Amino acid sequence: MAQGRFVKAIIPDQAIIQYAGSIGYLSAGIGYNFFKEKSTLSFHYGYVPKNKGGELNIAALKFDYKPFAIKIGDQLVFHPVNPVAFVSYTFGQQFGFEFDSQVYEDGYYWWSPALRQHLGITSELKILGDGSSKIKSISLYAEANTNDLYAINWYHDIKGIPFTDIFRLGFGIKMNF
Amino acid sequence: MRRNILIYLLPIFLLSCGTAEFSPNQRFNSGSPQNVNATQIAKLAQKTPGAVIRIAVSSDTHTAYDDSRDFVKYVNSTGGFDFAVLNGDITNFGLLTEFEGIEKIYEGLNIPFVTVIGNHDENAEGNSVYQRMFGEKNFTFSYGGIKFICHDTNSREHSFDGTAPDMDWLRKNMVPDANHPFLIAFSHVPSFDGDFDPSLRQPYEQLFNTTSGVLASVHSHRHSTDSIYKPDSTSIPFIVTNTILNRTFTVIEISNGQLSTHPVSF
Repeated sequence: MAQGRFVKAIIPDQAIIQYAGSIGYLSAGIGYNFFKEKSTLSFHYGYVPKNKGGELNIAALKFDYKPFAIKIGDQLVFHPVNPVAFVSYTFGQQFGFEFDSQVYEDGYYWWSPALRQHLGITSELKILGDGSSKIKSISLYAEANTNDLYAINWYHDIKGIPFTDIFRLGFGIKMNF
Repeated sequence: MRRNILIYLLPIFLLSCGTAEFSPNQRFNSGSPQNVNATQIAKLAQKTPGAVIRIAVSSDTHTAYDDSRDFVKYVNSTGGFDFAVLNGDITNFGLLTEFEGIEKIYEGLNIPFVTVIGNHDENAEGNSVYQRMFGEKNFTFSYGGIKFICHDTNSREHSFDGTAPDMDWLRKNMVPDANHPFLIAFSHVPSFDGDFDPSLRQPYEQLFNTTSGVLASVHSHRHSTDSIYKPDSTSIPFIVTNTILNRTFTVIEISNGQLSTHPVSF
């Protein structure tokens, strides 16, 4: 009985496929909803092939919050502005969690090559199913995000870099179960 | 109702102002420039050198777009320069967007320019980004009877493994000839800096001091007022220039094999 409850808890509420959005040329993820589906915690794995500027392998952990749900007719729900926070980790030889302490003394370079913190906003349109399938709805979303390094460059050069220039786009589809 | 309109406008704003990004660490995107140093050197070859060669030496832009734009404006409005150099630390973090931002600003110069790789530029995928965008890290070009030797001295970024500076490459390329009797070197980290391989300091300085025709070795990295280092009275000048962050660049003038240098604030 306990085993059944455990399995139920780990089955994801969402399956996500995303194009771009700083976590891969394409990435796949699974999400878990909280607070009556207003919040989602999701795990993603993305890949950038060589011919798109890689090879890069990236893992990401995202948390979003959807404060507004606007019904449009019977079949559409619009979540216009949803803050999202995530961390991304890039794997590979050029990307340690820290700079090699045998080569660089403490504080030589202060940032992590592999780990980035991101903040962003998404906009999501949910298309409700008719209730006949396991997929309750399908969401289409667009996301604009920035990261700690872009933000710091901007902060040091506010006159030189327009604030909107530090945001990058991604687009995706979520299947909500 | 007013609140609703704003809410519908935000997604449109999101979608319209922005580009997609696969990763901040991607090596290029569809719009990234390529082979910039080669293109600029070809432009320089179209110019006819005068009796005085005048070079605008800038360095350590560190993704400061506003200061870099002001440097470009100053050089363009002053005139009289044959070409410009950006002597390393183009970026802070070696990221594609940083390289692209500075490159675009320097394209606004009305004279050719070349870039040299700095230590910050070698972070993350920076080596790959730089090499695709600008070209080889060690390269030479000639103008007005002078051979310019641009090379990578960011030893710490190579974990002091002996590959930077590339002494074999330097010995092969720091050679004057009948058409190019004079040599000027550009590299980011000076030989007497802690980020330069200490085991290579002596052979490096010796090579520069014993090769005939070497007028100067130009460095940056230190973010300090211009200084000239000469190990002894017979040595060539090792010139260390300031950072664009301090709104300063260095003018190098060569006439009849005589080199002079002075800083300029803008």
